[in-house]
Amino acid sequence: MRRLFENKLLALVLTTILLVSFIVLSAIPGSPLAGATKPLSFIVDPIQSVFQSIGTKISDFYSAIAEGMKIRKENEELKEEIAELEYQVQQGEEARIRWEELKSAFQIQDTFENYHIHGASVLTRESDEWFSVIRINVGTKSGIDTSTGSYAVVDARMNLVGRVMSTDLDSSKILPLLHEGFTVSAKVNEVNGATVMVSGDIILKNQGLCVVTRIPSNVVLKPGTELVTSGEGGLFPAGIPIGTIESFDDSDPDNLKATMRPYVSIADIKDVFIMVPNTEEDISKESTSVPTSTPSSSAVVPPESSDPKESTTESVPETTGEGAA
Amino acid sequence: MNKSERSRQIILYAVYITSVCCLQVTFPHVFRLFGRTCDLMLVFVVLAGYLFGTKDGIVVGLFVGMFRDYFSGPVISGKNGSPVAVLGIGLLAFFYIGLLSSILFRKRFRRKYTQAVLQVIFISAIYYSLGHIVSWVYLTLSHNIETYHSLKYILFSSILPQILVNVIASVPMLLLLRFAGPYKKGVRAGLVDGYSMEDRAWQKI
Repeated sequence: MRRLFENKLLALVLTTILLVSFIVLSAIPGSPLAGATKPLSFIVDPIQSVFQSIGTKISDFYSAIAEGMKIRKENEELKEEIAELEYQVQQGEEARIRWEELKSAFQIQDTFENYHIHGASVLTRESDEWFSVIRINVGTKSGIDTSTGSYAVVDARMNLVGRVMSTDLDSSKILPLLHEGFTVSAKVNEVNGATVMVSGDIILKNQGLCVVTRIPSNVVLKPGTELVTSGEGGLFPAGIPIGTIESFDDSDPDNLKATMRPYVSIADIKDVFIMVPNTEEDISKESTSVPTSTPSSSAVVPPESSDPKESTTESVPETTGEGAA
Repeated sequence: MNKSERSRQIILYAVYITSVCCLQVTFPHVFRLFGRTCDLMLVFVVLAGYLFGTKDGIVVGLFVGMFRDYFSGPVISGKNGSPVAVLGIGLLAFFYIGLLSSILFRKRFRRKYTQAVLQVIFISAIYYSLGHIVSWVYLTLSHNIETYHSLKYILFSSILPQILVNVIASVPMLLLLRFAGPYKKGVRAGLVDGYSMEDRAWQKI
């Protein structure tokens, strides 16, 4: 064996073959190698969280110094805004009660009723053009497991961010909406709106745009038209806002194309929410439990903070998902 | 290399590798210039390989590649066109980056610190050019995509600005490896690769 590795060229070829085999095997769905990063996540995630926490504290410190006057002024404005918002909340509460009454009366099905919403913070972003998935701080420990399928990822305003690719113990990889490997069936957000296909595009992603294809020949997508998930395919529930049409190209009538600007800005996003469908067990539990004032069975778990103090103060038991939706 | 030197080497490499990898993916906006993020991982592997030899280059390259795969590994189309996160591409790429940076131009550059920047330019150009070629071939074959970035975009908006930001990042990293690196005085005493080491002229700035 020692003699074998003394031949440098042979060692190089063997290492290359080994690494290529590793790549091929890890790409096979269900391969045990896909979970090879789980032990690594046990060591790397806490270290990475420390870096994030230090960076945030430094950034906050400089912001506090540099923006002291601005913050004071903003604080006064915010106080006024709070007073106004409190009034709006009161009004909103009344509207909510009316909505609940109507919902019970007409048995309207809540679109996201059968989903658990897990909050998470973005840990890492892309390294370069090709290493461009993002990582968030929830994993199998928090009940996110991609072995049975993928999950939709949305932002705080319920706009589509991407999908969960793989999970480790304490973190998961997210394929963002702008990535060229991303595809979602969408529909124009109108009554009987046309169904189209929204995909990431290697050229358009630099401009923060997606490409829209499979547009029916009789449809004209005007700039500003809103697209939402169609629900086809089963991964993304119907009705999640994706973005608005930026431009429409009808130069080739057999191949209509459009560009779409997503609502979410991947570069600025800090917190995301994963939509995990309720299992049959959850649904049966819900049906046997005593009804509460809010009949919705969807639940929101807030983003996990890297700061233990914050997580203890912010962690609250499952609340209704209507705030997030 | 005695025990304390070995410990220093391992500890400092571990600290540098984790720091460089975590910093790049956690605060990409901080290291952004001309619309490109400094590829700290690539620069670190190139400098480790160039300054401290093949073994260091390969080992550092494999670890950094592993981190790159872990943090933001590439995605390919699996069965039915569904995306699959693959592992090992970073390992393979950075293994070769570590190896190449330790053997390319070693005669011409003689491992002088100032010329390490030339190695960063050269390896960055190779990595980003090959990246675009592989990406174009892969997208054409697997996704049947006919359009890709124009040559003008690849040259003037991708490769050249990336090389420039990598060069800028290489200067502080070079100083770090020289004055607080894994080896005392920035010189790996045991490095023998067929060149005269009598006056250590090959590692002077």
